[in-house]
Amino acid sequence: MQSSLQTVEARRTSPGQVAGRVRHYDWGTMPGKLRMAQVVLVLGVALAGAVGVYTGIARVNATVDIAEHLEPLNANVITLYRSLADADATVAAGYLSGGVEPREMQIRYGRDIVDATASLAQAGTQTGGEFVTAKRIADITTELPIYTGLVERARANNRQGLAVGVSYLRGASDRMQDSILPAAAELQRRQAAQLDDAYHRAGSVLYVALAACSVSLAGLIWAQIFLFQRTHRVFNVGLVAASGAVLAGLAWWTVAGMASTNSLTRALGHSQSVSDALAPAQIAALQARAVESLELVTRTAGPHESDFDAQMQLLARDNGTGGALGAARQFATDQQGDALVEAALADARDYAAAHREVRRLDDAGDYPKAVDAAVNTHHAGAAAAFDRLNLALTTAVDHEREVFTSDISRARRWLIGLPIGTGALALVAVVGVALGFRQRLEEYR
Amino acid sequence: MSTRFVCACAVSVMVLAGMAGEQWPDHLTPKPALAGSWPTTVMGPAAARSPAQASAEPGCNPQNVRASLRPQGPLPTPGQMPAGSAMARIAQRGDLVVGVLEDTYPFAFRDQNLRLEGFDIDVARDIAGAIFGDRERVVFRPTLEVNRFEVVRSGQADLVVASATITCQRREQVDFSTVYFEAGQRVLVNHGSTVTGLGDLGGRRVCAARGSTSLEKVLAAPSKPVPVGAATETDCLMMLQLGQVDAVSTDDTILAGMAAQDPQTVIVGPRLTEEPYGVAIGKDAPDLLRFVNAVLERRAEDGRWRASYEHWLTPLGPPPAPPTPQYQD
Repeated sequence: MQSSLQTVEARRTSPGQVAGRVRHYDWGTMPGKLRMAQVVLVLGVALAGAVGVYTGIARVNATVDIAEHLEPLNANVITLYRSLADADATVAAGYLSGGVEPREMQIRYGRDIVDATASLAQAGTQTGGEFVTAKRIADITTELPIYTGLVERARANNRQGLAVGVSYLRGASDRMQDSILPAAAELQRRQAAQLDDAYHRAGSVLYVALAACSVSLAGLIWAQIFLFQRTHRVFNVGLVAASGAVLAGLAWWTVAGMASTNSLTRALGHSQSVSDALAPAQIAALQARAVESLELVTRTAGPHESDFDAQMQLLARDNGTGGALGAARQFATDQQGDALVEAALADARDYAAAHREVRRLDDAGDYPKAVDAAVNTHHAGAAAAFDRLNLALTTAVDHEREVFTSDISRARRWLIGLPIGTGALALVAVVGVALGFRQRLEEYR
Repeated sequence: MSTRFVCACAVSVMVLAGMAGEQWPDHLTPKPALAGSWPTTVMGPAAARSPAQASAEPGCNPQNVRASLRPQGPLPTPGQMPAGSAMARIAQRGDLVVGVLEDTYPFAFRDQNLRLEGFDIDVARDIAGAIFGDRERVVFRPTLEVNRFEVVRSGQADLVVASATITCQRREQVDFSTVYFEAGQRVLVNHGSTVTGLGDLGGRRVCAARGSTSLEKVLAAPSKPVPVGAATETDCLMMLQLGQVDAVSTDDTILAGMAAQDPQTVIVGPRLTEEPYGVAIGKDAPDLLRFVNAVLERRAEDGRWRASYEHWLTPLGPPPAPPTPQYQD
């Protein structure tokens, strides 16, 4: 007890002793000034190096996090959302086709449910502990089996030609539209926000490192001018080497940092193009399609036509400048992306026109022709027009994903060796400063 | 009766399929905003009351509500409608436009070839046959129960054959033909249930379509069942199958359609109400009304009424005599 107290006493006195030594040093003399410059510059260069290493590591980590964790997770949640909307649209169109559901629709619905379930399981293991996200995943996990159960009852009744199947189908679709899809939408919004955040983390630290390098470089230049004035020697090898190292660091950071930021910004653009524009566009299109089929299945055009219009407005409005496709237009940076969005817009217009024709036929009392136009993909009608629109949107999403992948790998390539290199250059600069001043100081011995 | 009856597309769901959440454990039901989309509407008195209850046709009472306008002479030859008549205008146009419900098996529904069929549809086709000599010259305009009279008032349809009960309130808005079918409200329960009528359903959940007179009747029952309003009658069958309600109560015609779809259900108890069905026609076409009454009279006499009944309504028992027409003039 006694001895440990003494140790504490001893430790307390030690900073005072250092302070005493510093006070007793005669800073006014030339060696004193040199000593001070040496200490300040060594610390400054070391600090700049540390900042460089730290920001370099942060930047690499954030970029890796985006490329390997957040973006796949975002894509996964989009897959979940889209598969669910696709399942709902497919099962309604399949129901409309009659008791013998077309094979391709059965396969597509089955694949949608498999994709959705797999994405959901993956999202559950990867989203971490965030409460609302976990809650939404739980919501979808509990609702999805209820949904598929209702769908199967609808199909079984439809197969037997029983009208009550329609009630099950409508009940299933309501569950999808009113609780499952909104939960998936919220999940996707949260995931996209997290991704945005990571981009900002990856991009914003650049200036701190550049500023630290610049200040160190300015200090080194000042020191050399100071020494030149006092000693009239033009070159100090240590300081020149240190300046070279800091300059190299500055150049590296400027080039690699700017280039990686540039690639990251472009990657962000492509990522946002998918999550904020193209995926919502595709989901709106799928929901419009589900409304179209359900209108014909449930024979209630009136109250649901406004739902169709609302989804189409989400897809595109104001002559293609508004809505999700309008946003996709803004995001598109390359010619191919632009062309794909324009193609999707044209297909959206075609689909809207084809839908109006379905409604016209149904309103005129020609129900069989209306149903044929809505489900038969073999001739020009709403079914074929919708397939083209869906394909155009899928192609646009795939294109953005592709350029995203190349941009994010470019960003990663620019960052290769940056933290280690920064550390090595800082070490060279620190040693250079220390040796450079030591040489001068020794002249006063 | 044909067993290949109802097409995929036969049933209308008005707004939302009302399904109760409590089939699944409470902790599995989603957040409140989501649960709200499963409206198990337990009806209060105000909600159950139908909107157009304010006024009735002056002088109309339960004794004379079935009386319509008497046909004038024999039916004209098809294709030769009297000049200037409503029928001549229809013939000129080329099609008879008829508002129908497409979700009331076996009165009006789409068969597997997407063709409209049913007891109501037979009436509409017979009227078209009398005008054109061709039963196929009909354009069917799908309507909802809530706006089926609006389509004749606004001239969107020449007439409406939509399992519509003739009431004094409705006669304020439209004219009705003579009665072409006498229905009545009854109760449908699961096979093996001890329930024999509304009297046994006190405190239990009984489903009917929202805004229907059936739901009002459930609400007014002295045994105090819990009325559950669904978007459509067929949703009531789904809810019965899912165990969300204990019984369905509506017109026996509709219950017969349900019993035909689900052999695990039975219609029980006596008729609680009288529901005389009539063809609704705009108040500006008395000549068309008399013409339709003549068609109804003839199809009752020549056996077509009976044939249609035997084709669609055997679950209700052997065919009775066709309703006797009543006239006010």
